[in-house]
Amino acid sequence: MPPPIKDHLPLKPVDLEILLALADGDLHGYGLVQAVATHTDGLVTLDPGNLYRVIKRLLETGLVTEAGKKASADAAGERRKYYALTPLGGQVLSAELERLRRLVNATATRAVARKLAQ
Amino acid sequence: MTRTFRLLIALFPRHFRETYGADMQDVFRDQLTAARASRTWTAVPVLWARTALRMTGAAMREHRSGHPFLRGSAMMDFFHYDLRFTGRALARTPLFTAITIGAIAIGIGAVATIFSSLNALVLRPIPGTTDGHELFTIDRRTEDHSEGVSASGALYQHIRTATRALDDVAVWSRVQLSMATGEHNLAVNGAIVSSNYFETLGIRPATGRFFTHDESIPVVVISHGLWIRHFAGLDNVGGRIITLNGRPYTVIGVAPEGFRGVFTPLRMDAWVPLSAQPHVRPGRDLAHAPWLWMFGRVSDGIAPDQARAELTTILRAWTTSDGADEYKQYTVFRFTPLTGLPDDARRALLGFGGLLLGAAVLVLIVAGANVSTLLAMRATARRHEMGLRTALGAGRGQLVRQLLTETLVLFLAGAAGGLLLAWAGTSALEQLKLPGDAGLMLELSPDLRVVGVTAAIGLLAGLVFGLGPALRGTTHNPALLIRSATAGSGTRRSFATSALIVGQLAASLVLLSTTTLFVRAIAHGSTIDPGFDRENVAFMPFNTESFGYDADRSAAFYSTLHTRVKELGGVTDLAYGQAGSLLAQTSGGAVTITRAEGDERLRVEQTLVGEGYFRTLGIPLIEGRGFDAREMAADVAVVSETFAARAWPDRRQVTGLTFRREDRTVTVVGVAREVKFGDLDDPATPFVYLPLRANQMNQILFVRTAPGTARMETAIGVIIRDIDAAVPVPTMFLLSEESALALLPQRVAAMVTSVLGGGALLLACAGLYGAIAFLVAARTREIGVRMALGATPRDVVQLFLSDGLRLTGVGVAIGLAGSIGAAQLVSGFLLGGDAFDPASFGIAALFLITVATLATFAPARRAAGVDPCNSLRGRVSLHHSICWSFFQHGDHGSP
Repeated sequence: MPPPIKDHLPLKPVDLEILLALADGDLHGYGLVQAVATHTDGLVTLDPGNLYRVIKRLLETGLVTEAGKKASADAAGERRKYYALTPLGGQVLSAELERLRRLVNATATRAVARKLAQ
Repeated sequence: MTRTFRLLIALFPRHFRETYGADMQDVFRDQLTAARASRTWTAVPVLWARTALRMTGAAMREHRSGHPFLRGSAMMDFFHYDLRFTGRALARTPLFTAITIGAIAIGIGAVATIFSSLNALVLRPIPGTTDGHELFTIDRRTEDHSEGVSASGALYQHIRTATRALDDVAVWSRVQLSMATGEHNLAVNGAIVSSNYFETLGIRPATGRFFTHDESIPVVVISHGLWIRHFAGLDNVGGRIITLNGRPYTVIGVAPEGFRGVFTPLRMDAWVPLSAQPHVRPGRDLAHAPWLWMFGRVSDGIAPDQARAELTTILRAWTTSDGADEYKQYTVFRFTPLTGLPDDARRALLGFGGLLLGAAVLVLIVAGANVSTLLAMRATARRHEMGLRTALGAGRGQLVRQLLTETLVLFLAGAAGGLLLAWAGTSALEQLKLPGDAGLMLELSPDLRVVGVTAAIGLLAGLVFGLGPALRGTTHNPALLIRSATAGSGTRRSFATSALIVGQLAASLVLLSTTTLFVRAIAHGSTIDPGFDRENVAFMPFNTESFGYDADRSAAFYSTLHTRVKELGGVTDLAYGQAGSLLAQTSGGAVTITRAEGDERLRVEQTLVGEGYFRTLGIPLIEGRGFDAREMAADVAVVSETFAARAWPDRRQVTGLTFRREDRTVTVVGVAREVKFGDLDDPATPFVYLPLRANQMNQILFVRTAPGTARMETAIGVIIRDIDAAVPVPTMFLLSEESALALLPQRVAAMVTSVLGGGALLLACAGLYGAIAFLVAARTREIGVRMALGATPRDVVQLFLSDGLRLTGVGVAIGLAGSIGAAQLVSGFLLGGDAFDPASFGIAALFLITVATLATFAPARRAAGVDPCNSLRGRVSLHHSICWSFFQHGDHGSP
């Protein structure tokens, strides 16, 4: 029996970024680096070591799976290993996004945001 | 990029890097491509720096996550706290860090360079072999091991079938081959080997296969180098036909990269099986003549001594049963590890290398002592910090651990720098011109063993030289430390510091005087008269066997060559021979002198010489004459003075007398003056010159030219090509240059000891300078008091100068004693020069004293510039604060 979805929550920021990137479609390692960089306006640039530590963790928890080797369009057609979101990964991602949405929309959060903005 | 990046990947746990290593490389390659495309010049370096830092961190975390028990353990504390703190501490004093690491790198680099060379030449097993420690050279020797003989084919076959203690035995011998490559032939160093040669070594082919026991057609295995150079590394090289010595051979395989046969200084390019002997060594008797070198693999669980005993028993039984064996006096075998060098050369090199290693260790001691002094001063400068940390609750153990960590990090960084120096040093040594063969080539670069030993030396040196300062730096109680740290009054040079500086000076002096000894030996060596005239003689070695000639064709070739070269302008004399330089190989043998009171056996060195040989080489004949053209097949000989004196001590004239050699009666026709073939300090051995038969396949052509004549290499090359266009033209050597190489050991020793001595002196003087400068800085207040009480600047200079000179004096005294001892050790290499050479020692000592005085004078003069008012008010000079900040963290403030 796999651990329930809420055991995966909250997601680490990097994990969330990776899962978000994969929600748009399968990606290889460098594709993930690029997607995360674009999505965070260059705030998060992953190095290969930390990238694969995250991937290893996501593979172990079953949120991500390997999607086989494919020729990549942006690396001169070299064959790269692609990663895909698992159904569980999708559920965890949507649960996390829902949690974040509720956090952002909560009355208390808004009050704090208003106060800080002044 | 890949190699550097792979280093980063290697930091990760094995499982992780095996799973993701290749993917990480892909990602980084893409990132690099993108960075390069970005047109910002900082993009690539920034990416490298960021990636290196983050990958290191990621690797650490990955290690930790794999071992939950490491979390919070002392080990992780070490990595997380001590290492990080050390990094910060060292980064704050960059000059100190750089100088310290540099000094250690010099010391460790010296040791690593010499050790790496020794390791490559005599210690490591032949590259590519499996279980190299089981392989042994098997030498047939006389009972007392003084003389040896190679194995015959028959003996080899017998041993191979009879032995139980050896897994396998193989034999080899050198052959000169020439390979057809279009127009001209290429001279190739080859070996003729038993079919199990590669199997016994445990070598796997790079491609193709090695020999089987029954090759039906002529086959050859080629070296990796030849494969790349001439077949562009093609996969399907097997089955290709190449022409060797005029006959087609089928290439069946390629030896692995870096494999050079079992005599590693010589680049070997082709191996043919024993079945090729009638073609490549036509004159040889495969069954009975001893010309094969034997080596074997000792079986598991059998000691080499057991195997040797077994083989000796087999040999004794065989010599008594086989009547054909003429070498009955060679009754035992000697086993020596198969390391790519013959045993004698190996021993000589070990002895020589051991001396150089000793010199390098002296440099390491100097460097270590130097750094130890620096560390002690740093500890003094940091007493305030240490006191503060103790007061805040740090245990002494913690502080010592912190200081030791710093020291070890410094020494390990130094070891890494030393390894880099060793790469550079060994490649410099590889450039040395070696005597003789053009195919000789050294490969000395460090391997994994050297890296390991270097790291171990770094750690050991760190403990030896770092433990003292670490312990001393934390001894005192915090209150004392904090108080005394303000403007070090009463800082005296401690006994330990003095001892370290004296030690450095003494060790430098030992190295310097040894250098002087070697330089004087070289000067002495070049004046030794070798007995022949080295000037204006060139020589060219030929081996017509490798041209694919038979005896008749060979004789015709030599005869035509002689006639044509004689006609060249500038040639005054020429002759054939088989030896003629200081590095010549002559062969040992024995003759029998018949006397009234009984026969006497005389051990001699012998060589074959042709007509005109003595004239060409300028060897004076004291009595009689040289050989003339008609007696080249006769039983005549020219003997050396020593021979005449030993054989017939009571005869004033010996021409016409006879001796017996190999069952023939030989008549003496002349007596030649003593020459030194081989070694310069060779004691005179009885020497016999025998006529060189016209059908001899390998001959050396000696050509004497009129002074001022240009090199004849091209002219003779044209003649050779004219006689036979396919023949490879041999390299021409000048006798003067070749003979100069006889001083190679002395030159190498002088070069190495002078570099080491220079480095050591530099370190020692830097140490002396630093110590005095530090004392000046630490005693500023005292100087101020002295000057306020009436001391002149001169008095102050004198105070420090005499301090430095006292140290120098003690160092010189100890160094001279050490030099005398070291001279005894190197006396074997001084070519008969006196090891106790007061002039050499005097020159070295004088030089050291001069340099040391200068090193003391500079900081001492600065002391005289102290302003008493400022120093008493606690204001410090710029020099003082620089000196202080050199050792201390910025944020703890200077006193």
